[in-house]
Amino acid sequence: MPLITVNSIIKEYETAHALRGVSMEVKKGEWVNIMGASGSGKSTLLNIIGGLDSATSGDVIIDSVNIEKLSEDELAVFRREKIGIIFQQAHLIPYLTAVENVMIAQYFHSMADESEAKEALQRVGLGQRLSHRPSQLSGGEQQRICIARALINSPELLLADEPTGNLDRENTKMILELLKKLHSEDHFTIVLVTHDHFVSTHGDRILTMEDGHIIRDEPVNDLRS
Amino acid sequence: MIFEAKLIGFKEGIKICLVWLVLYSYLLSKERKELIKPFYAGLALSAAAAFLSLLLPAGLISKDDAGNIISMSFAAFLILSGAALYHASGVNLFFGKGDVRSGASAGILVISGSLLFFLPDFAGSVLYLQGLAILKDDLLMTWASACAGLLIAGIVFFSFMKFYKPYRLGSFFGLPQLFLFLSMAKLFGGGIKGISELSLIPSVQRGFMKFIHDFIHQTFVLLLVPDHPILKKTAWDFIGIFFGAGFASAVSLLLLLSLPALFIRHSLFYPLPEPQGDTNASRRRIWALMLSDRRKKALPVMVFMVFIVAAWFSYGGEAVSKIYKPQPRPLAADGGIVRIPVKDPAGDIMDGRLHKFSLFHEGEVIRIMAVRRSDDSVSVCLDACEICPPDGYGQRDDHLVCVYCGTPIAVDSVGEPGGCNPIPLSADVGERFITIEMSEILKKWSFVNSVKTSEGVK
Amino acid sequence: MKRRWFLYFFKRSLSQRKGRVAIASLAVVLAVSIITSMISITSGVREKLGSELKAYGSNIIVSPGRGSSFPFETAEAIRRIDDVEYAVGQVFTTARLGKESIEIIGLDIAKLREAGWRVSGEWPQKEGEVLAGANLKAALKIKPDEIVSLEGGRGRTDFRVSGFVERGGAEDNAVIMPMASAWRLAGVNGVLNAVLVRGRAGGLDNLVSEIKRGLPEVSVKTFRQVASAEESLLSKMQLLMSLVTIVVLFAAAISVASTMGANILERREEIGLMKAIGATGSGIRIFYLAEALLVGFIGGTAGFILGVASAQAVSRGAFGSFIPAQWYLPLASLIIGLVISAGASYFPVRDVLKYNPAVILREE
Ligand SMILES: Nc1ncnc2c1ncn2[C@@H]1O[C@H](COP(=O)(O)OP(=O)(O)OP(=O)(O)O)[C@@H](O)[C@H]1O
Ligand SMILES: [Mg+2]
Repeated sequence: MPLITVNSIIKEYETAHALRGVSMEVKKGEWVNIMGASGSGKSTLLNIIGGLDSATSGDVIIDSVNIEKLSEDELAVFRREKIGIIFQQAHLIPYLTAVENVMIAQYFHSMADESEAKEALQRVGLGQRLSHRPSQLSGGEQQRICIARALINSPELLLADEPTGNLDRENTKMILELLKKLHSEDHFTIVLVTHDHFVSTHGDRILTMEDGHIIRDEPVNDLRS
Repeated sequence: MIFEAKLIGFKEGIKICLVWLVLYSYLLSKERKELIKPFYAGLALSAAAAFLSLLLPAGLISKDDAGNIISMSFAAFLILSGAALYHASGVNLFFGKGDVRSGASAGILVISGSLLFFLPDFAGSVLYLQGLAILKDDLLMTWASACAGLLIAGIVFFSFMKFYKPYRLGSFFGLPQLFLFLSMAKLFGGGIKGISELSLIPSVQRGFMKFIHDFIHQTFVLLLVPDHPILKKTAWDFIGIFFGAGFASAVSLLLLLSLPALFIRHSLFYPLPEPQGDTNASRRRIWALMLSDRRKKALPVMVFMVFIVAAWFSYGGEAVSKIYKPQPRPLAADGGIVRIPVKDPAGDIMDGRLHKFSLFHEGEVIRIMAVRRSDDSVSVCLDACEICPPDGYGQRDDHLVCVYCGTPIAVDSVGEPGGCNPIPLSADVGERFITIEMSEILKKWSFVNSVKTSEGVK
Repeated sequence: MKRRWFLYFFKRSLSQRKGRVAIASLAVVLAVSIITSMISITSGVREKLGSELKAYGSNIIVSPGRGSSFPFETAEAIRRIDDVEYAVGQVFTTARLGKESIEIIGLDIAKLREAGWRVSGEWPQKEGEVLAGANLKAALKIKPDEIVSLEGGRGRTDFRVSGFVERGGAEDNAVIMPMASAWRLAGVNGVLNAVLVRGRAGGLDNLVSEIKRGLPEVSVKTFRQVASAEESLLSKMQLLMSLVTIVVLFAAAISVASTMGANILERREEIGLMKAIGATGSGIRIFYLAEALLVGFIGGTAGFILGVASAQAVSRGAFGSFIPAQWYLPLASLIIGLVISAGASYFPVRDVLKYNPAVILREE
């Protein structure tokens, strides 16, 4: 049974058709990259899988729950238990320190636990930056806080929307190595949106989107060869 | 429609609905939904029995009796809730040897519980309504109004339920909380005439004072304390401290609050098992759920505490500001003369406190009061002045206080006419009796402001 | 535990907007203080007016129809009417005792003894001895036989306080002295400000018209009439008070609502993010609700203190006396503060629900 089953979803905005019938499956523990031109609907698809947005029609079944049928509050519970999200911008809370930014995710999930949050930051290599404010940290460091925050509640599914979009090559590499390490240790599933071919060489599979459709679905190895 | 009857019907209706709601939520959360049926049976039986009680010879059960029984069933539920709390702390009180959880015995328990809960209230209300019907001389209208009130309550409740699905209440109510809720519903909805049986608070207070008195008295007797005058004096001063109105009423509040406080302590602090789980996150979640469950159970208890404190301040609270309002003792005129005993089992006029008496005359209640002045003379007045609506007087320290306007009147000046002074009666104060001519009372009563009292028509 | 962390994050988020909270609190402080002072003045006035008249042993008050006084002989004329049990002429004036302005009642002390008044201490025997009301005794800590120096229209005079009266009425706030002393203190002679009459109960209306017939230039009212006139004055005051209250409440509510609205708009990103990581709408709103309650609490308590202080200042200026404190006032102020603040925040805070994280987090 796949972790994610997306069944012919359509997303229409007043001005645009973002998704025009997308179907896909992601197995448990898989790392899937989504690529495609700007405006092809990648972020929209990711948001719908994460329950941040709802589809105009179609089903999204995650861990055998159809999240399109959930109420607002049930969706919140679904997100906090099952999903970790990373964005292109860090979206850290400016007045909280690095640890506190991780702890707030624990807080909304169940309750904060400072030592666990510190450990998580050490795991992403920020053991020395625990009580820094986001503004005192580099882009790469901020993104690592986001990873710690996204994974602190042991989600089944990590969604990443261009996590390296704002970073230089050096930092991009570091973030990808980190994700690889965590993925191999904790066996969560990753769906990652990117423009960057280098990024898409990591993971198991690449879906390519165009104009609201998935036009290609190929394993990473094939692309390399 | 008779408003009063409608109000009574409404009150009973709301009470039934609330009790149903909480019980149903509780049963739902315990997955014993089927036990709601015996509740219905108990409800129906209570109603039937209440109406049957009308067939009893008149005077066999008085409204006072019903009131007492209501107070007792309040206490019963309060005790039950304490017992359930004790039970919850690990001692198996309710479901001990025989398995009471099995269908039949649980059903019987629910039926008898609902009988205990509803029968006294229903009987009281039915008695009161019957009295009202006789007073208004309109049997049909009284009962129709009561039914209308009941119906309105039902409609209000069900339309509320349409908007808001309150079954989640189950997570707030364990068995102790359920019983506590029932006793509170009694306290606020168990009265015969009005809305509430708040008079329970002073009665708890009185009972408590009597208990202390008896206890101390017995101790003194047992210890054979020598009857030395000095010791006697200090001993009684000591008891006097206990009997200070402020102290006793504060203690009664503490008494009423102590059980809920115990509940809250229990709900907030009972030890939780170490959560089991694969990941930190899942352990955290289990822990948080347990904590929130524990806290939710404390919430209704806190609400009750707020209610109790509010009720106590609005009803028993006058004891805090120490305004003493004695209950009038009934008097009767005999041959145009009213005689008040100076000292009898019901009270001693020379004790320096305010004493009130009531006299029925042509459908009116005339209230008379007597108080000893500091020079040991007794002043006898009507319990009303010429200016204010006749709400009467209370006593605070060495002042009387007009209940309506709050004007304090020094006890030593009671008996002077005019103003907001109580209207004096010329009375003959003898050794054993105070005698007043009925004609004097009636003449003076006619000066009393004849507008409504602030509570209703004079 | 969760609660502890709630407070933790609440404090953190609050530290970012102390200024905003202060401004919103100030609006609530002003509203609550105005309302509190009005409540305490009106109810104080009610109690004061009530006790002014009611505890006297009289049931008719004769006061000057025009001007503020009438000749001394009026009392004699009234006393001669049948059905009058007694009539006491009174002179009212004020004098300063130290910094306080106090009321002086001048009357025939002998009449008080006849009427059965009791004093603690001695009745004034000679010139220069006075009685003081029990409230004055308590407020100014006057000791028996103390010499008080009263400053009236005609300069300073020393009096000896020979005794104290406690009647539960206006007398308790005043110094009572023989008529002649009061005249001297006020710098007038041979006039009265009022005559208090006790008529035989039952025939009061006849007695009123009889006095009016004899003395057409004075105004004669039974105490019951005076009481109902007071009631209507009070109800007018209460109407005015409710109008002002509504306006003030409205202003404070708008101020709190706009502060809270700006607050929430400013934090859209944060709100969107919290939703994305799994916060429910109510989980987020509780932070803003707590902020509103804090504003209400600050506003309620500070408003109460300010309101009571200004009410005391006003009543000292206007009535020359303190007004008694109402026990429910602190509670009422707190509740008013909380309700304004929480109520005004309702609509802005409700907007939190509308924020869609997918849309908000896309924005830069
Ligand atoms: N809230 C919205 N309202 C209207 N149109 C929208 C909205 N969100 C997205 N769209 C449109 O939907 C289409 C898909 O957008 P989406 O953000 O999914 O693209 P994308 O593949 O993530 O692009 P990029 O690589 O630039 O991030 C676009 O044409 C966009 O303009
Ligand atoms: Mg995008």
